[in-house]
Amino acid sequence: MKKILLLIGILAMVAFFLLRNFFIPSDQDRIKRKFNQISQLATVDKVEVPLKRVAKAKKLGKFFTKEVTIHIVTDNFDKVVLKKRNELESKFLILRSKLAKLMVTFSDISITLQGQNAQAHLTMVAEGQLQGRSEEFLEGLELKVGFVKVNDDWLIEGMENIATIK
Amino acid sequence: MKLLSKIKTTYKQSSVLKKVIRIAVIAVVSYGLFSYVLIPLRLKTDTMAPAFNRNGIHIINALAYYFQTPQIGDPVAIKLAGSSVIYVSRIIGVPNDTIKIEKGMIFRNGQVLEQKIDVKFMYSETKLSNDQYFVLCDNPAGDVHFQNRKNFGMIVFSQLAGKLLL
Repeated sequence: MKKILLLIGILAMVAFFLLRNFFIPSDQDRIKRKFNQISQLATVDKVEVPLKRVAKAKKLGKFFTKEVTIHIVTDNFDKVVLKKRNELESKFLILRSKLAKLMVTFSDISITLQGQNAQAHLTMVAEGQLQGRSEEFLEGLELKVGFVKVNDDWLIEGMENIATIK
Repeated sequence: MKLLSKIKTTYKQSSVLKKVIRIAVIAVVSYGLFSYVLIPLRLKTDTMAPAFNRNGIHIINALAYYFQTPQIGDPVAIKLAGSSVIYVSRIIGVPNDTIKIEKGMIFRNGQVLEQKIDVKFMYSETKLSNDQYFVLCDNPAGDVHFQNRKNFGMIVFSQLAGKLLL
């Protein structure tokens, strides 16, 4: 009898874990999942055909609101200041066409929820290589990313980098 | 005979249990030690060469600054959003120092330091506050992108993840 109760207890805990993480994820989990999806979509492992490039840029664009403010200033890349989703998609397209390879990872993600808005603080690392260049680039950025809930989906409405060393 | 067999079984069980406990203790201590005290790190740039080379495995002493304040010349690990990705640099200015970079020379409290820097780097005379430190990479040109601003500048104490050990 004890064994049966123990087994039921374990099964209930497993069911709760699965339900909590896979079927009813928290808003924080959903936002973290967005970063994983962006990371996968942003990855370039070989020079892409134009059609695939366009499709991936469009898919990436869907993670953002139509009106989005992106403000990224680094020394390795041009200053990026964008205000519309379609501008962003064009930028993705141009960037992808220049890349031989790219790997984007997000880490140390902390999320603060404020009703229908959320703010994520994280580190993004981009490692890659431009077409026709032998050296690789490596860029680590501390980012603040603003999210807004639209039709039960979390979309990025703003992004800016923080200068770690001022 | 039965008693002897029972003692043997109990002894075997306690021996196995001891081994399991020993392994668990080693695992927990190792995890704690290498996650929070002596944190391993792999460098991905040559900005601290030759003291710390690219792809070399080094250790951060995360407790170093619990017992002493950062000193001039200390190689330090600087956090971004968390400790997963860090910058590595060297302290050349401590609180209340005055720092200036001009014509390839670094001035600390009006004295020229031995370390030289490319003439492209400029930093107007700045007095550090009670909590600020000035850091500079040993070899800023070792970065793939030469004029990288994050190779030098101001940080605050809370950004330090620890001191690098050789």
